[in-house]
Amino acid sequence: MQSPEAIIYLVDDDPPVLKALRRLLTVAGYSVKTYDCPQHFLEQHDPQDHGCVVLDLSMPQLTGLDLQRELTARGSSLPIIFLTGRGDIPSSVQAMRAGAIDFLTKPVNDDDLLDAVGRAFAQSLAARQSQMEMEQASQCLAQLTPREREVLHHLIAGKLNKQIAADLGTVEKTIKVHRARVLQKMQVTSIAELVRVSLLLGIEPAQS
Amino acid sequence: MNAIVAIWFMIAAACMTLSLIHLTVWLRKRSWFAHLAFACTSTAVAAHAICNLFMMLAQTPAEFGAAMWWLEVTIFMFFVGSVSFVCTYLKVGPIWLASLVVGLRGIMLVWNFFSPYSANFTRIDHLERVRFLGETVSVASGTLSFGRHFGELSEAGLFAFAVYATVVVWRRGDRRRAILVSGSLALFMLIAAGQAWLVFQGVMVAPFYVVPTFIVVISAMGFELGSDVVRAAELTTTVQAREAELRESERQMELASSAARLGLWVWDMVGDDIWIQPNGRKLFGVGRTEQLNWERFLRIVHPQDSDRVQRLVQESIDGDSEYNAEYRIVMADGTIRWIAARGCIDRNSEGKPIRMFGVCLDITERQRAELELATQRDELAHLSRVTMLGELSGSLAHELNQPLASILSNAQAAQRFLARENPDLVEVGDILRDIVGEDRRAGEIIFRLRTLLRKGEVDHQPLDIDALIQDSLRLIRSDLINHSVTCVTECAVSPKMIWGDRVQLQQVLINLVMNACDAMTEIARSERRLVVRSFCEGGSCRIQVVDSGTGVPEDELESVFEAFFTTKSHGMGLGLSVCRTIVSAHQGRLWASNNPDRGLTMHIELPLLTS
Repeated sequence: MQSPEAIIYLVDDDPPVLKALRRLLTVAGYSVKTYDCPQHFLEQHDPQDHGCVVLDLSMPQLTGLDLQRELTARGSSLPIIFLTGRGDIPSSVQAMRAGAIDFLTKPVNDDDLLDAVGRAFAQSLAARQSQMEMEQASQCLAQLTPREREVLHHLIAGKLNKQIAADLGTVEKTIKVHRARVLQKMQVTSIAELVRVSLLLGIEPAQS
Repeated sequence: MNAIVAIWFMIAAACMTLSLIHLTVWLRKRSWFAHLAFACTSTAVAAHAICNLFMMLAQTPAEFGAAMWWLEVTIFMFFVGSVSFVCTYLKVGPIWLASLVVGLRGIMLVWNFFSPYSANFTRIDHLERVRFLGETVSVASGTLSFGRHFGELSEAGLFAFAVYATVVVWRRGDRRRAILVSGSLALFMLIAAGQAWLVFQGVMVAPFYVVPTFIVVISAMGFELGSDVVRAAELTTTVQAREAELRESERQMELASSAARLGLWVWDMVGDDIWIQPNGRKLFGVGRTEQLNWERFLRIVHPQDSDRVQRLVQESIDGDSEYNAEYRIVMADGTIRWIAARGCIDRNSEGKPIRMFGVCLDITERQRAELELATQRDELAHLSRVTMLGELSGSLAHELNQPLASILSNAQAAQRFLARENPDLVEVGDILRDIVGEDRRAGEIIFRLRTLLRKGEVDHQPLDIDALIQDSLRLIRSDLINHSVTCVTECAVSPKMIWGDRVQLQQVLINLVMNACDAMTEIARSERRLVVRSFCEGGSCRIQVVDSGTGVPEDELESVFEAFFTTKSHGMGLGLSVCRTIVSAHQGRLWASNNPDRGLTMHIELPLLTS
């Protein structure tokens, strides 16, 4: 279910723990990269990275929560699973609010961890898919002429060809051609689909 | 009875009385020869007076000659007496002169034996009757003998001897005795001999005046001797008073030492006999009359302390140092008492120890109080330690969770490896090795914790300060991380061994580091820096815990060590006061100082272990 480039980024300042977790996740079939220092991870991190981060909450210099904040600031969409030596409620609340997948207590059970990783990967994948879709849609949108974009606005407002022609001061036949072009360029087959893609791209319908 | 008879008898009686008194004195005090010499002189004068009286009352030349014969004997006796008196009492006179004088008179005495009319006359022709003191007395007239010259010579000799003694005694500074004893002897010798010479030469027709003149000499001598006796009596009284004082002071000393529970002792090392005051004997449970020696003493000392006491005494003997020991003794009923003893060695001129003397004191109560105090101190330290570890529990749980997490993940990874069709057994072996390692790590943490929580006897042993610092920091690593504190250790390379209790000193270090962390919560995380430094200085080892926190106002630098002083919302404020107690119990010091830039430094100074 995971895409080939999905990687688990393990960050823990305790080398034996890091080694054990890497073993467990590797044998479970994941690609794992380990960092014994949060700074190293940040230095090598690419916002396009795909997968998830398994992060120790308490580390010297940069805590897990600091790292989470930093990743968000850099526009990373990597889901985060926190590991902690103690069930510290304020920290867990803060982590979850900031969008963490889970907050697990050490020693962590393999099923709990793998389950969390699975969810994280699913989220990562979904995020990646929607992102790809949006990228595709915006590429399509770029191909539209200004006139066709105008027609698009009116189309997603649910107007009839006749109404659009009247609004734009042209004949219905011309609008019909534009409409076919827009649907073709936007790679959709129905107005309903066009509305969904437009919403995804944040295009506002034309005012009546 | 006429006047002369009365006077001469009185003189004889007085002299005899004096003689008897001093003879009695001599009989009781045989070493006082002066008294014997005086008794001899005095008796001679008494006898002389009687003979002289018989001469004056003689009716025939034969009677006169017989009396004079005896008179010569008394004169010899007088010579012997007075010369030996001057020699013994004044302690002067060349012996040869004294012997010469006595010898000359001795010749006179021998001459006397061969002459019926004494040594003075070869023949007495007749007696002349002359008036003397209102009475008629007899005076001899006859041929003088040649022996008479020896008498004259000896009289001159005695005079010279007396004059010489007078000069010597005068120069010695004892002028009174010079005049009274030898001076008077010389003067009256001159008068008596001179008068006798005039009588013999026929210039003067009179009896001899020797007797009344010599009563003066006798009186002077008697007076001197009497004063001596009186002085001796006074001296005796003084001595008796002094002795009473001494006894009183001894009694007071004993009372005082008894009140102070001190026992004075003297050990005669040559005869191996230990003298000890009665209350000291009571202290050791030794009977008043029981003989005490070194071996008996060692039997009283507690078997565990006996070797140490022997060693300390030997050291004192060898090194000529003060003996200073605290040891236990076992009483007859089995009770144990603590004794503190001090003493020093007395040596003879060759440096050989002959005596040892000193005091001992019962310190059982003090020892018990000290023990109680130490127990209380340790209990407080333990309580404070438990409280401290309670504060640290979260961090410690995290510290313990790390190996546990690692073990669990490793084990579950191994299970997954083994579930495969072709398990990678090499990998599984690696995993098992890691599990063992992590289990040990967890075990060590628990061991350290248990040691800190233990409420056992304080166990002093040689400790390496740097290892102690590392151990302590390992336990609070998580706490440092939680406080976002960066900790740096700066340990000088030289090994720093001290003598102390590992648990208590770790407690101090952990406490100081925790305080430092708390002091830095107010400042930016990136600036929370902690330095733990160790180095040697002089004979001591120094540890510094330096934080970059807010510091403490200068006037509160001392009060932070007071009990119940706290700036935190949690805690009782006992931590630092207990820390200081612990460090003091290690003969060390703990103090605080503000850093020049920011933050506080805690200093620990502990004596270095020497060989």
